[in-house]
Amino acid sequence: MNPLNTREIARRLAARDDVEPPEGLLEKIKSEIPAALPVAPKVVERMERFERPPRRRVWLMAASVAAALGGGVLALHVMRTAPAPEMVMQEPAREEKAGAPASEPVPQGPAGAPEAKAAPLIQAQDQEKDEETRALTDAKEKKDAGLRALGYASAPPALPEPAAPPPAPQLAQPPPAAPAMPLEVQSGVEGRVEGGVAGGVAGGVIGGVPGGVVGRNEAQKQTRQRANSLDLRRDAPAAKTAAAAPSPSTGGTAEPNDQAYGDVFFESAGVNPFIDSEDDRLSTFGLDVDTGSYTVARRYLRDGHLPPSDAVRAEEFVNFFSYGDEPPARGDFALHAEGAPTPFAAGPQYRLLRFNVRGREVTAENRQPLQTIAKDAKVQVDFNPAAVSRWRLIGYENRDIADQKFRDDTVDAGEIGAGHSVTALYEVKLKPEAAGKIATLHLRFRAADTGEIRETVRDLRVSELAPSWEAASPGFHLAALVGELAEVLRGSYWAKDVNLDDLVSRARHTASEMVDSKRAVDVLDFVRMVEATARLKKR
Amino acid sequence: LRDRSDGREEGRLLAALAAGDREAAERLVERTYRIVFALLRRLCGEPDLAADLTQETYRKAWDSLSGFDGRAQFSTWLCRIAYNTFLNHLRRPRRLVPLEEKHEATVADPAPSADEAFGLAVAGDRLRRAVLALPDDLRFTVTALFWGDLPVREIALHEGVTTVAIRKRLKRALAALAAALEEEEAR
Repeated sequence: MNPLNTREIARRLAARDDVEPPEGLLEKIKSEIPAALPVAPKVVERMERFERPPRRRVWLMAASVAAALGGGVLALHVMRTAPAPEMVMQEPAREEKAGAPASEPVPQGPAGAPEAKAAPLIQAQDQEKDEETRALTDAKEKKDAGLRALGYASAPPALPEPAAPPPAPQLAQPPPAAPAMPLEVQSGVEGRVEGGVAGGVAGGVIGGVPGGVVGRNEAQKQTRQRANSLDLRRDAPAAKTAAAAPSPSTGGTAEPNDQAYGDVFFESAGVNPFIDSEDDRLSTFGLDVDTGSYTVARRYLRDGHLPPSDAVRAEEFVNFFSYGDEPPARGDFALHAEGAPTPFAAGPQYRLLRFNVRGREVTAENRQPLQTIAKDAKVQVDFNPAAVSRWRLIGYENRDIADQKFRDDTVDAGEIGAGHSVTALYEVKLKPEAAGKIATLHLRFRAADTGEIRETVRDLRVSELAPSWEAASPGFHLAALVGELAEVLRGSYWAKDVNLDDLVSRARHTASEMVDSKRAVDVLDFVRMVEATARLKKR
Repeated sequence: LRDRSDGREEGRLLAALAAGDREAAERLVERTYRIVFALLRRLCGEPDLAADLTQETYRKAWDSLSGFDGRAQFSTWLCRIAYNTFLNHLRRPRRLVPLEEKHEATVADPAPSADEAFGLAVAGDRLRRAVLALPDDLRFTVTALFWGDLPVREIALHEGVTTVAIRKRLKRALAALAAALEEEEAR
């Protein structure tokens, strides 16, 4: 059997010529709904499983709950035992590090150790009583929204009609830990949970990456600074308004990624600009990446709407897929790099680079559930100005870390689980005479088992680049297409001239390249997203 | 293009339905009828016929709702009914004794003969005909996955097999289709 033939068959089967249902069909079907509709009781029972979050997020949630409880207990302890001023006196270093009240932007300084996250609470005691009460109420609202967004508390029923009875108790009931917490305890997680929602990061362990606008070249970094300052606004009152706002009109009442639209906190983090490598050759960011933005967008498109551009995070799109990168033969991480010209590039000198960090697998007998293998993992890409004239990082706008913080091991940059894979795309413009090294990928992390700081490195050379788009790997094709769809959906300046029909046909072709892979079904879904985008954008 | 959030919402609506909220049924229809129509249109190739069969699918679904066990999502179950409804439609002209409509939803029909498939509404599209000539398990897998947009996991749940088994079926089906089309093109 010729494999090309099965691919062609899959391509033909997946081809879409969607026709809208005829007018009046919906009404006809509705008019035939009988008066009595018996549902078996076991159905309601079984439907409960959809209330449970996907398994891969369970460890994040468990850790979040543990962090929330821990923070809350600490807060309670602090409130009940010591007079506030003395407590503050006892913790001067801590307060310096993370001392801003939660209602103000997080400072740019180095973040403290994990326990520093309780500091805002300590300071909160100095405030007036009514202010404190308000803060607690706010915290509860934020936390509720956060829990819903993280998927372990139920959103309010999405049924539009007020007359509808509430869902059966077992469906609406969140896991016991969350509602059982007293209000004071909930306040302990304010900063944490809010950060998780704002950044689209599932799980409090990861936390926000303290932004890096320190010491940037002002003229070159305007957009990035805007990105950071916007991101850091996550605790501002606007955040609360956004979280509480009704569902945007672009969506239905359906809940993407286990969240109601209205609970998803969309905040623009801007789009990274091209940066001249003579001015700044370093690109640094934290490896804590979620994929929620992709599933949210998928839901919007499936419902026949373009997602709000602020909901689209390119790095979350790109990291929804794995691209066949092998785990390391030894050591904690394998670093992968490849590059090729793309049809979406701004000109012939441009190349798309794909960097991947793949964590080691843990053998079944040694595996604890989703074991963490590294903490505070950060990546720095160092572009060689002799080969690269300019570069831009696609996405990661709110994962930015100041370059000089790369070797500051107090920067909280997220945990990496066993087998985890993180991908970043860069567009670079090569110099005409480019040769030798294009860039060096540095990964720095704290080994979870020994606590030791380690750094690994991989070079990418001009000779390693594929000569053409066609010659690049299927994984590279997919990554480039996924990144490009994110660029289109978020209205990136760099994607303004993209030919959507071309994008569709390339996506279909890539799907046919991958029909035998484990990812085939997700890739088919992706093709449909591209098709829907092309259709909706043309309207 | 569907994920567990569909299941969640469907679960809520079914719970509301169980609690006596008839409007929940309307919401279920609104959420699912496009996908049912799309599947049927791809199966039969004719929008008008697909619309009729969509209506028929829901009639059967309401009739046999008490038999829905919640093993797979509601929409998955609906797609299976739609698929069976289509197969019954193919067989209808030659049927002397009507099938008991009530049981169609849960009993898979045997494949229509190649002749039946050829002579009826599906004529004109070799790929569609080749799909319909597949053995039932392969045929349902292909149509549910490609035309019903069901995830592999859902098909597996509905069929009571593993996702690996579904992927194997898919592989076999694609190979069989390629062989069938090649043979036809060689003629």
